[in-house]
Amino acid sequence: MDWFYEFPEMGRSSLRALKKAIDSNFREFTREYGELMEQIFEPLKQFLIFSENLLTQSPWPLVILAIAGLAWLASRSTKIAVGTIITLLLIGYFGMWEDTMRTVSMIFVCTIVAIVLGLPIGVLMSRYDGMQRVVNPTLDVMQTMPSFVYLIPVVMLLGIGKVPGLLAVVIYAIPPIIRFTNLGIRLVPADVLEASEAFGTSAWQKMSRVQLPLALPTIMAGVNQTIMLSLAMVVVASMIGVQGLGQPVLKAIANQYFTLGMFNGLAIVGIAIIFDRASQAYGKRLQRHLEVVHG
Amino acid sequence: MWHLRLGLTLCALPLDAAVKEGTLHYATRSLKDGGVEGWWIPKYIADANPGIKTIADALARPDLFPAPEDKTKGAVHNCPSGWGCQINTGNAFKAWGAADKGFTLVDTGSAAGLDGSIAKAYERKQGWLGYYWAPTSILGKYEMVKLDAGVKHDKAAWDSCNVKEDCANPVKNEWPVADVFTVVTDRFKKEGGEAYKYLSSRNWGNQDVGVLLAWMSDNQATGEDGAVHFLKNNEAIWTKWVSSKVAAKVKAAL
Repeated sequence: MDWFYEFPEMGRSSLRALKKAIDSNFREFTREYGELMEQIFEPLKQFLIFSENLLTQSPWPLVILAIAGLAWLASRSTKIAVGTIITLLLIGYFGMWEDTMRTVSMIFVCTIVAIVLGLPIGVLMSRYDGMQRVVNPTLDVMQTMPSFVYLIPVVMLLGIGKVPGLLAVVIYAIPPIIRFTNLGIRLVPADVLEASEAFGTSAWQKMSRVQLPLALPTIMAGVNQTIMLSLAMVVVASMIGVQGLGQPVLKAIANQYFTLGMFNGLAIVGIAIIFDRASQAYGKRLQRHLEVVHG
Repeated sequence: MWHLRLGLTLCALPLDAAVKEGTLHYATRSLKDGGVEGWWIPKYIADANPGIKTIADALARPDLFPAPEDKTKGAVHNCPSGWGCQINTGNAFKAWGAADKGFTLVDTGSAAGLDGSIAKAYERKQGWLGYYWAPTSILGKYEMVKLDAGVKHDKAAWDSCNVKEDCANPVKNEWPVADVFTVVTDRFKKEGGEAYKYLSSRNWGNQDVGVLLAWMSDNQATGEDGAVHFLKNNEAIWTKWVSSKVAAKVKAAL
């Protein structure tokens, strides 16, 4: 009755052969298509490098004013703009300016990519049930598969650096925006949609004038989650050579420097709050027509 | 009881004290070459450019070792943040003036990142220059050549400067070889007999260790699998460690 207590496994040598076959096929793939994949991502890499250089090499007062200015434009709230300036001044004063600028540049690009790619996918998912059936399990994998599992092949194809880092962050951070967009649009009450159809809206008008505005509270919650998850991935990205606030955290972990880790962690939190408050205030301004505004 | 490998630098003082007392003995140097560390380049680069033997030679050719983010510069791959080697490699980078020669120091982030960068470069036959150590499975799998520092290991300078993060003017220095010994207790030495004889003659080079480690990692083998594989395929090496009677017994058992 041995098989009852010990799970009947595949057999070690066949399991080993299977793993070796997959590994060697993947290596063949990287040898053949690695150059091509690097070339496909080259423009993105150049853009990331340009954005990082822009933030790190510009004079710091200009950068603080620019970020605070953007925050004010998005939120029209002096409180948020002043909070941004104070947070950035504190971060700079504690010696984390350059790392923070690198992280801000990286995460800003990642968040934009996630939102630009995620919103349309969410909208499509809300229109076609079949697409939802396919996309949902994919999102589940993207959120739960440990990042290093797909990072190892990505590093073999593209090397270490910003592009694998961006891939890791976007893969982890895009599911919330897709799910929340899908959910928000599907939750628009059916009678409102009927009323709009009675007035003769086309499909595009229905989506852009009725569904999206009414789904905005939920979508903004998705944007908030995407920003938070992108920043949470900063440390994992630094494990494949992305510079920024993650590296001192790794150093702190390796050497048990608690304060170093704490300071850099708080800087990450500070950046997250700036991004989040600004984007949420922008979302609230877009919803002035509603009575129920997301909290 | 005996302990296979003790990296001596890790617990030198208590070990020396115990050996002086006579409670422990160094049976032999189990790794002939010791634990080796330094800057390495892939073998195909070394073969194609026989002029590159020292660190200074390699640093004269940034075009052979392109940086991942900036093709106009060369790159020296450092070990991850927080490891001791990050400090001594950073100081070596300063000492050899690599920045002026057009190189950047790339932080690989983690052991997986460092290994991944080697694997990627090797699979695509690209140039790679950076810090690594032997014996390891990566060096067994991907053959690399260690660059000579061009100077001897200067212990005083090493301890006072090269391993310190804020050293202002680090000098060129060779990495120390970490001695790896087999250590046995006094009782084992006296009563061990054949087993002690085996332990005191067992030593092997980093190349062989590396090849075995690489085989084990390729085949995801356990220690036992690795031992059996080694015994089956390396008769020339292990028969030197035991008497012919024991060798015959082992061969029969395999």
